[in-house]
Amino acid sequence: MVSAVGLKAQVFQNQEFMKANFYYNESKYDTALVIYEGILKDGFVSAPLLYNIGNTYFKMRNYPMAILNYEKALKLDPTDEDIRQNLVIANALITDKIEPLPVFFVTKWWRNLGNMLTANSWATVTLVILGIFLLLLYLYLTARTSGGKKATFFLGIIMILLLICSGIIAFQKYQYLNERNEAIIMKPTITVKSSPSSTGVDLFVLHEGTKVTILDKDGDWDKIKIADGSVGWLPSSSSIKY
Amino acid sequence: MKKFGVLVVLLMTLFPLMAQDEVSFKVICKKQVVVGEQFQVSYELSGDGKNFEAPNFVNFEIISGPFHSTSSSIQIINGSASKTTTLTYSYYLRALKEGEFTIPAATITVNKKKVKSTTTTVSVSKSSNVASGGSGSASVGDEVFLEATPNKKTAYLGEQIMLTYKIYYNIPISNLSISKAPSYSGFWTKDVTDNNGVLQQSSIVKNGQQYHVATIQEIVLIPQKAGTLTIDPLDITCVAQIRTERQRQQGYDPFENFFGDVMGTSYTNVKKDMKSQPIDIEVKALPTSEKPASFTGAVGQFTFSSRIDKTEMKSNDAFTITYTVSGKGNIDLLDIPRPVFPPDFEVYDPKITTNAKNNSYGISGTKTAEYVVIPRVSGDFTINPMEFSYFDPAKSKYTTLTSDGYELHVERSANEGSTGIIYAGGQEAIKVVGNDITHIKAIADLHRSGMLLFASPLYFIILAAMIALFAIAMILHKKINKFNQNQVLVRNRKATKIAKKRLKNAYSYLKIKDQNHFYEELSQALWGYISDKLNISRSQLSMDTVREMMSSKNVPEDIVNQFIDLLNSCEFARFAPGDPDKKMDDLYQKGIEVITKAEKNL
Repeated sequence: MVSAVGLKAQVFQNQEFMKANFYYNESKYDTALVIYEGILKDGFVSAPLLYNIGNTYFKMRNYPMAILNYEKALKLDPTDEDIRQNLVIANALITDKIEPLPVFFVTKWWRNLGNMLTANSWATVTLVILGIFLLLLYLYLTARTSGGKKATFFLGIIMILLLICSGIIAFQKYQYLNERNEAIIMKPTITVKSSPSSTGVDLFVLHEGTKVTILDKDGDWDKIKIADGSVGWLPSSSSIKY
Repeated sequence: MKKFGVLVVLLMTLFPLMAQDEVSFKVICKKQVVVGEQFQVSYELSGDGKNFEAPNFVNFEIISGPFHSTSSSIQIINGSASKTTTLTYSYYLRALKEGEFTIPAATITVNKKKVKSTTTTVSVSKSSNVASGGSGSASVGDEVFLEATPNKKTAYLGEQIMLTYKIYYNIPISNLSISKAPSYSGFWTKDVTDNNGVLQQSSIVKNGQQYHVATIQEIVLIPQKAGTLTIDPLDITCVAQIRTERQRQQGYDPFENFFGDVMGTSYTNVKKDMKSQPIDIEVKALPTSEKPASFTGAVGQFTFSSRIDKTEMKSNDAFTITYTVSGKGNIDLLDIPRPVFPPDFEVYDPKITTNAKNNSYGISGTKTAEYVVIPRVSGDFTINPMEFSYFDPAKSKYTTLTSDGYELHVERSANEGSTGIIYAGGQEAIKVVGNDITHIKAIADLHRSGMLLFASPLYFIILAAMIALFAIAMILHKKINKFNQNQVLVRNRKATKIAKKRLKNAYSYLKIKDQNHFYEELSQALWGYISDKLNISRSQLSMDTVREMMSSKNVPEDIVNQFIDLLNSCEFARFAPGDPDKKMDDLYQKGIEVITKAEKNL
């Protein structure tokens, strides 16, 4: 999997990353941005890279693009507090301030649990739990003493539950990272309509930098939902999906 | 017929011949005029003529004309009648520039002969009174002129100047209108004309002549910048009735005769344009030394006061505080300074009311600023006295006035603090924006995009590997078990055979009377048999184990006892001498017997 060529490419990209960081520290944000995005174009990505790109856009006062990159970074690494912090700051500087709907506490708890690890970490967790479970199963089947059988049975049940939970989380993360149904508005001002056409009734107005969830698609239009639950249609070109 | 005609002709020719001896054609006009003045020029022909040709009036503007009139008179002296005819052509001219100019001759045809008139010279002098005495006047002839007069020619920035426009006339005028108003650039202006559209006239003697005068406009000008500012001319027009000299006639122009008077004079309506002269105003900047910090542009003479509607209240109650400036000066333009209130006092934008009145001195009035204030917290507070400064142009200095201060006592109200919500949002925002973003990360931690572990080939490989491992383990386990079971079975099968073999060995030892070996073999046979048959490991072999195992296999008690006795006897016999032969035989027989019996039961 890690061939000599691959390793060499990785080293080069790391160098590019440090070069870009240097330019950023010299306040040459345009140059830094070009180099960072070069790494992306070469097919490499990471939460720190997207975070640095977000910071660069922020310094260039392009808050919508900063928010977009912070959100992408957060998708890859939900445990990073720096990303969250900067996202809060950038969101304070955009036009729309939307009151999010209160979330059911169990949902919130589940989401927080999921965010304690990255997607790959969760996948690893599922494999580890499965391994432990199989071990216990083996011990159960080969146990000679009833005590042994009881213990392994009990632990085995626990492992099954943990396996189901982590499996679901790992699967949800997998789905989330593969789909691109979140977006940031990029047009300075856009009117959300009641139906997917320009003749639809005007419902509300959004401004660049606001996060929306894509619910559906119809031709060139997206059905979106914002944090306060409001739903409407927008031209697809108004936002960048991630 | 012929004779009558000849007589008429004779008479007709006689008459004129009798009436005049020679033709005179002369020009009549004023010898002295002023630039811009309108005057009359007439060409008088004694007699009758036609084809009047007007001259080219260079340096003069033709206001109107030509008018022509004929008059004739008949004189009867001593019985003989003589008739004189005069033909007059008139123009109204206006002198355009100063100098000596010739009124050229006109020509007319009399009796088929062209007759030229006399010429004359006119002296045109400069128009009088150019802005020196402080007023600008337009000399449009003597009859009508416009004068603009400011009440002062130097002023401070912000000081009001009253500009009056008066029209002087000694002929009837009407249809007064402004054709071009000046822009008054550099000034703030207010029209304070106080006549309800009706001009009040009065009489005055000016330049030695009697005039009517009326004030057509009064404007207050307040200069907004320092330096020399010029008030541009005001352009007005009116229609004036100019008297024209006429001799009584049966009216070439019936219209004119209708307006003419009995004496033979009539009027023509002439449009007159008038312009005021430009006026320079010297505007002084306000002195910067001693200018108080609280000066907000007020120039004039003022008083300043304040008023509050309550000084005792509960928090979240509103109170109103009003500041008033009154006096003469630029009331419309001055600002009342903004008061400073204690923190946590919510202040709304003030209501500013201006009440300005005009009089002959200019603008005066009052300006009030009314503030509605809500204290959000309880306590004792002071509203400090407020300063208001103005510049008095008459005294050329600044004056500062101070209003009252107030002591407020605000009691705690029931809902104090709950309205602090207003600040919460603001606070949070300020807190966040005050921080900079967290710095960039130094470690790239790059990986190929799209590489997720979950559901990746690697994931499934590991998954499969673990399950495979498990399966293998289980299989192995089973195999081992089976093998072991097999082993047991084999041992069991072989048990009798081995025992028989051992017994056979024992018999051979019996024959040669080898006690030691005999008992050894016999013992081995018994122990071995039981061990193999019952799958007891050698280490666990003991009398008790044997008994226990045999009992659990439901071997009858007596056989168990026999077996045990035999084992004991063997041991005993091995280590204690006795009758060897008999014993050996005996035991040998018993051995076979017991094994056979056991075999049946196991």
